[in-house]
Amino acid sequence: MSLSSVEPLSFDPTYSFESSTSRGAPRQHSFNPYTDNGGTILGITGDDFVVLAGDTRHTSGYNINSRTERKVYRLGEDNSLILATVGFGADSKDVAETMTRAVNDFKFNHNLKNMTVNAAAQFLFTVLYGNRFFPKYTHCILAGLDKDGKGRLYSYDSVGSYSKEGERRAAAGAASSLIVPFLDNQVEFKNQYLPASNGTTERPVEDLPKETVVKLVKDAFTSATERHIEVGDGLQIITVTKDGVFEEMVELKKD
Amino acid sequence: MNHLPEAWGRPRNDVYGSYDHSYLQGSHPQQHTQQPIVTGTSVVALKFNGGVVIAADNLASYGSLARFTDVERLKQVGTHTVVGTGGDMSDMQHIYEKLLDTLIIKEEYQNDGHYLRASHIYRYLSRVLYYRRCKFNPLWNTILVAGWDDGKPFLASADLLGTTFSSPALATGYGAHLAIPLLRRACPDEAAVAGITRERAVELVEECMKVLFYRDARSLNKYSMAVITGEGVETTGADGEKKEKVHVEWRKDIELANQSWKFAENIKGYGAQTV
Repeated sequence: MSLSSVEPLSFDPTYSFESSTSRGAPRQHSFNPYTDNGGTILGITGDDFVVLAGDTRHTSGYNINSRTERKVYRLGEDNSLILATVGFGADSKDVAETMTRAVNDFKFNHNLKNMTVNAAAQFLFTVLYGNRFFPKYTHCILAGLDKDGKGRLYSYDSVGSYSKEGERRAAAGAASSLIVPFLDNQVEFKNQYLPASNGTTERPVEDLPKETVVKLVKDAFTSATERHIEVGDGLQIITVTKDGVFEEMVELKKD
Repeated sequence: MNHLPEAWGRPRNDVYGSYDHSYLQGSHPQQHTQQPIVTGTSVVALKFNGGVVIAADNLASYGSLARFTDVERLKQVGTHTVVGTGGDMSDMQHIYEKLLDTLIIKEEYQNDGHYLRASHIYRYLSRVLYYRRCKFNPLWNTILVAGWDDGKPFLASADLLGTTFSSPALATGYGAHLAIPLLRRACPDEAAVAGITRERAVELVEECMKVLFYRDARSLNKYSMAVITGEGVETTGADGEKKEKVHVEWRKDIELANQSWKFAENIKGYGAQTV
């Protein structure tokens, strides 16, 4: 056996019993700056309130890193702004921190006037789109009360796309595909018809009362917990009304 | 040796022929770390009523070679904090000796009665790790920060991507698979911390280190442990400056005790086999 046929020692992440058909062609192993830490967030508006919720499970693959990592943040102490972020945990926290800082700075630069929710929404777009060529891998839902006291909700993709009109409801993250059709039916009344119309007249969309919204949120998350392994442990529900911002913690299944 | 320093340490041209500079050219793009080289394995930590216990073995592996068997992977940072690192050992040494030592020295030069607590050290480390990943030049580590912070035990994790989380029981690497289930059985949530004594916590972490040595092929039967406990508040200086008293008890070069390899003789194949 000639010496040149001996393979040099390497740190191939492959195993000795793996076939070596691709030997010869140089393979590039590169650093992947992203990961997915699971979890789901959900927001629903009513007429004069808005609810944002997120589960508190933080995962890496099949591992549960933590059962108590919150992902709904208040942007300051004396305003109505709340932000939920989900996706890659590090980017999510960084975006939340950037927003908190911006909202705080705005206040001190504008004679203690609070940032409005639509201004915060536009700023969040700028933050996300500013990272267009190395995106923050995070899906955001921003909510708050506007200057007329109406509940406002904005949802974003990872590069900042959002609707200026806001949305009635939004869900993002691991189990969003499970929750969105549920919200279509229960919030937008899709596929619901007035009983008297014999299936010809759609049920008109109306604002839901706060108690109903909170019930829907809990139902959405208990169901998502049943069907998605990255959702569970705890549920953080933040409700914004004219009387203030309230947080409720609910237990979810830990399996 | 001649008068040309650039020729020192290189093969002599008259003996070996001229030096092939293509091996050391500077024209190719600069490479950042794509993989760790000399690595440390798990770090295990658990909160208890009045403090935190953290442990890591003393091995630095070079692939599957147990290369260095006397590496200290835990480090006390300031008075309130102990950090433990898994992953690339040269990056760990950079963090410990270039970053954290400098941080503490600068802080102490201030001499203003302020001091860095565990959450501050953690905040600093997680931002450094996230900053480096954003530069595509990661520090290839997973770090646990254990300490005493504002009257409570503190424990949190940060990794090479800047991912951060906190939990009453944490373990990195193989420990995330093998130690976490054992620790969570005793300490499922933050409320359970109050019911765990220091002795029980140390016992649990010792058990984890043993299980890890049984099953993690890149581990060692020699490890270090640090127990951080809050000892109330003391008044320092004439101006009545308050400072939390924290005690860090170190146990180094612990030999793994009471091993039993009885299970080994029953293992056939890869372990799942019954015949």
